[in-house]
Amino acid sequence: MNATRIVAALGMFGAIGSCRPPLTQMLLVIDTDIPTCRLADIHLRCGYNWDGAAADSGLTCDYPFHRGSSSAEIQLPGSLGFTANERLPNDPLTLVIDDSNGPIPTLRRTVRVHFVQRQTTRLVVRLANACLARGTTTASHPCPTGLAICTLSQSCEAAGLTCGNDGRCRSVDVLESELEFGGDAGLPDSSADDAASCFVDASTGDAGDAGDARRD
Amino acid sequence: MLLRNRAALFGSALSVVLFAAPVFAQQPRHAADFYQLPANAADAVGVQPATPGAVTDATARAAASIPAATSRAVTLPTTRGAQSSSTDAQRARERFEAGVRLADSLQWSEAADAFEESYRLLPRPGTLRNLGLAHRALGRYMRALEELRQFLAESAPTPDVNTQVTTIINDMRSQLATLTVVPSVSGAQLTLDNQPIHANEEIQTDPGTHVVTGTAPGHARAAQTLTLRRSEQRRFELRLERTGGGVPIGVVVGSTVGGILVVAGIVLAVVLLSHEEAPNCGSLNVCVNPQ
Repeated sequence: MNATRIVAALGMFGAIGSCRPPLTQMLLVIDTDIPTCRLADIHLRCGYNWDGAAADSGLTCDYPFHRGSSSAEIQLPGSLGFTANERLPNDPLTLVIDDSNGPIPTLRRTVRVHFVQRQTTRLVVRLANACLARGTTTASHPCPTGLAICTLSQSCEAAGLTCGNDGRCRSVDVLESELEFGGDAGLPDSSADDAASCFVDASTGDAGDAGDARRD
Repeated sequence: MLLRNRAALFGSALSVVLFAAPVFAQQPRHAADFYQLPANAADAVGVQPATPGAVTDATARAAASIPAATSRAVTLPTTRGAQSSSTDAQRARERFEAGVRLADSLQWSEAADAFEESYRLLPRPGTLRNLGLAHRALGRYMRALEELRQFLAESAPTPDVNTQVTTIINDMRSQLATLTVVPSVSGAQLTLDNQPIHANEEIQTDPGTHVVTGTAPGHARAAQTLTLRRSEQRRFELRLERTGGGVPIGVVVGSTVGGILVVAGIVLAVVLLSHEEAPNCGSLNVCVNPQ
């Protein structure tokens, strides 16, 4: 009988040991409809309970990516994983993705998201071409101080917002309802029209303005 | 021939000495119960006589105080008796005297050892009586009974000695514990203090602590310690557990279920833990964690 009890105890122990809750993580999917010629470099920074601004405080990751087809480059859409802080599971994860274009990037997406405990969630961040649309500063399109013309992304930031997946300003905070659960879903189809020419109609004299890009 | 006569005389003298002073007090567990050697006889017997005449003198002096009943004891058959070597006899005497001294200082165990060695070297009823009394003092009633009964049978003591020893025997008998060992498996081989005993039969034993063991084919050896009080009658059930192929179905089922749980738990733990150890790093193969 003693042997039976020992075996049963071991079984219970094993069962209990096997009940360790699953990992809390998030899969970030970065997508864009911006042609590579217009968004070749992407800069990703992240931090747990990070304000999204400080460069040397609370920063956990800092990845420069170059879009391309070589092994050293990345192709979008692409995904990467984030694991929750086990000691501070309620700390939000802040992600900043920009085009590394100067001190005030023409395109920047900021995301602040909370992990869902013991779940693998999936967040899709789409860098919308529409966020690069330029406009002069107005009440509805404020530009950062000192700029008369700015992109929508810059204008959103000037208002304390960020340019969302749909090319509209939105809060940096991501609701749980916006997350997909499970990390097994595949990547979305590429929305970037790399076949599109980065040439602009010379007649417009507006080279470099994504909003005016024309196809040949 | 001369040597044989000397040995016979010496043996007779020693026997006489042992019974020459039958001191038997009312408190038989006291050292005073033991026979003492008269000083003159001890001197005479303890020294190997140089001449036949000396032996004769010593024997004569000792024989002067021999009671009639005790003198008969000289004729008791012994295994060695007159054939004992003088060295053994001397050693027997020394151990006898040591036993008396040890008993005087209440060192019963050592006294019993001394009397036992003396008796082995020179088996005399008087030594047997002292040995029985020492064992009685140690609570080893069964052995004491055997020795005192043998003493009565072999020594033909005086009526007083007979009465006294018989009283002691009856007293010890009344204090013996009665034990009946009932094994859980029929046909089990039992022992009580390493001595084989029969199952389900009353046996008398000393009060005190005992070890009962049992063995049976297909069963683990069982050993139990039990303490019996004076005059206690105990029915003791000895449980033997099955081993090997004779495992009860309950144990088999329990062990199987337990084993399955263990294996399932381990597999599940490995799966889950391995899932934790390899988080999803996405298509870019980049994993970020707080550490």
